Amino acid sequence: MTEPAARPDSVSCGPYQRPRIIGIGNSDRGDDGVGIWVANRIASADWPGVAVVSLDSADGTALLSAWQGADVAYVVDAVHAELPAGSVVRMVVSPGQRIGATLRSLSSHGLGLQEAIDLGGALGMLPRRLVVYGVVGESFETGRGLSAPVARSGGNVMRRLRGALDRSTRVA
Amino acid sequence: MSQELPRTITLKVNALARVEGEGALFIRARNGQPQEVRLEIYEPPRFFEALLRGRHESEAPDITARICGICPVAYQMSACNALESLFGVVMSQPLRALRLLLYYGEWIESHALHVAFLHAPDFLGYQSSVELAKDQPDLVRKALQLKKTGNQLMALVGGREIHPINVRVGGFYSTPQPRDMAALRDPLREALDIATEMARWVAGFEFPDFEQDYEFVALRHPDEYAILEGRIVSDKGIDMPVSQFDDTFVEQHVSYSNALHSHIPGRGSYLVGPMARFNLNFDQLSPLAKEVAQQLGIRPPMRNPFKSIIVRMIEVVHALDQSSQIVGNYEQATVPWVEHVPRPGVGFGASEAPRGILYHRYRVGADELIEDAKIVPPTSQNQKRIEDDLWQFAPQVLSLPRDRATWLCEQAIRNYDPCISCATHFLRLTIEDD
Repeated sequence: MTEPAARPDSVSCGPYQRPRIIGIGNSDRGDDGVGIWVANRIASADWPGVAVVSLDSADGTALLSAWQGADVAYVVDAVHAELPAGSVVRMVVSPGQRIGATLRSLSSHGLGLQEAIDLGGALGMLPRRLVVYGVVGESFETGRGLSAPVARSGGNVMRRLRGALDRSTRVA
Repeated sequence: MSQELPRTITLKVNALARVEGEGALFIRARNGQPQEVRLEIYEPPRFFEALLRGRHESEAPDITARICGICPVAYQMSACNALESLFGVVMSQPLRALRLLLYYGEWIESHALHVAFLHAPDFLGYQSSVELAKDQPDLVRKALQLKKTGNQLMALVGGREIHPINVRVGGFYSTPQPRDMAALRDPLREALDIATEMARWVAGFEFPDFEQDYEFVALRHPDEYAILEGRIVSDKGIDMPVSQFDDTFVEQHVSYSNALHSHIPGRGSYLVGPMARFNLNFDQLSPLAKEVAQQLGIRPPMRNPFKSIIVRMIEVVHALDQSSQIVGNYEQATVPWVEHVPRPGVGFGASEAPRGILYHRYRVGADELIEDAKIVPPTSQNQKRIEDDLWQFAPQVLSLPRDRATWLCEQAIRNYDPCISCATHFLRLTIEDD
């Protein structure tokens, strides 16, 4: 399922609860780097009121540290799904929820995004609100950059994140 | 328990779980005896050695660090060793201590990840660390804290937790401030208590009765439990400088794997990694690590690969103990790197990655560009040994229900903490009865 627009994220954006944007993947392996691509661009643009974490080639446990203390966290990752390349799947994750039914994280490491979510749920270490943007990739060859459809979707994810943050600020 | 075996059995694991990278295992057996064992590494080769050709020598530590997100420091250190030996760089003691601290950080985070999240569930009957976390949340939180401490060391010395960016040939780009180093004292002390507790926890697991006659190969340093550098030694007579690596160990292509198999001609497979280091260098463990080992009744020679999980935790105790000393004695170096003049020739380097010896060789031209590079990671060296273990272990488990046999074979592979991304330069499991 590709969502054209994100549902408003009603979150508080006080100075001590800055939303966290976390990009995960491997920037050396084609479309697997889309999460890192998004996180790095947001960090470079220095978006106000948000903390950005880039987890390039990290194992899943690093996610637990990355969203530790955050009330709201957005995770951007490349995924496999029976959808056209560049499709963006947005999921609001609850403890115990299986994202694997529709998405398969591409982490080649021992623990991936699903395991991190499950561990976080078991340990009470999930943010109050966790939103995952999964971008369906098509090419994961070493040394390649993002494919054209995935690069376009990376920009789309950034716009959706910006919109979600703006709405949450207005709510706050 | 006596159970009539079907004449032919095939065990297949199409995607090995809880290992780093992508690979598979295939075992075909007849009348309870393996006929074919294949550890298939299908993760595509990544051609890092070719990528290095034509690049400036100073780029090697950062390029090779990209090979693995779990052990990037090992790649940086082996690359630096090779080039620094070629250029005649003699590291100052304060800078060498910082390199040790960075490398200990990687050992701590890598071993903590493998022990608690990838391997312990095998011994306790859990499908994953998530089930373990539901039953023993406090223990898993402590394991996370332990891993985080390793990451803190890497972030402070290496500039960031993953793929550190502060290492250069000759030393570092910058050195940490004493106040930042002092802030590590309490986390290290707490982590040491956790590591000791976890060592006792894993030592209490039940281990299959399985001992093998390995040739253990590790680095040996005159003054310390080797990690940064040393001579290559084995319990069967090898004692040589790293520059003779290619004369002794041979890599061979096998049709079913994208990773090369290493062996010693005329002798066969050998074992690198924590158990080899422990058996060859036990006398050089820190006093506290030795004390913990002795309390747990663990002493060399260790020949049961399933008990490598205990050795990993003893190495974590050692790494934390040594790190505390380095942090306690830290004085910031006045110069963060040793000046050197690149010169043409061939440089050889090896260090002890968490999974074992990592060998690098570079030929550098007069224009300071890399003309040729060779990298032999520990998982590549252990691959044939893992298969040999399975040849010997499979007959013990083939009479068990298929799920149980598959479980135990996967567990046997995870004894080695294989890093497939490093080796392709690898995991799925298939057991088949003919």
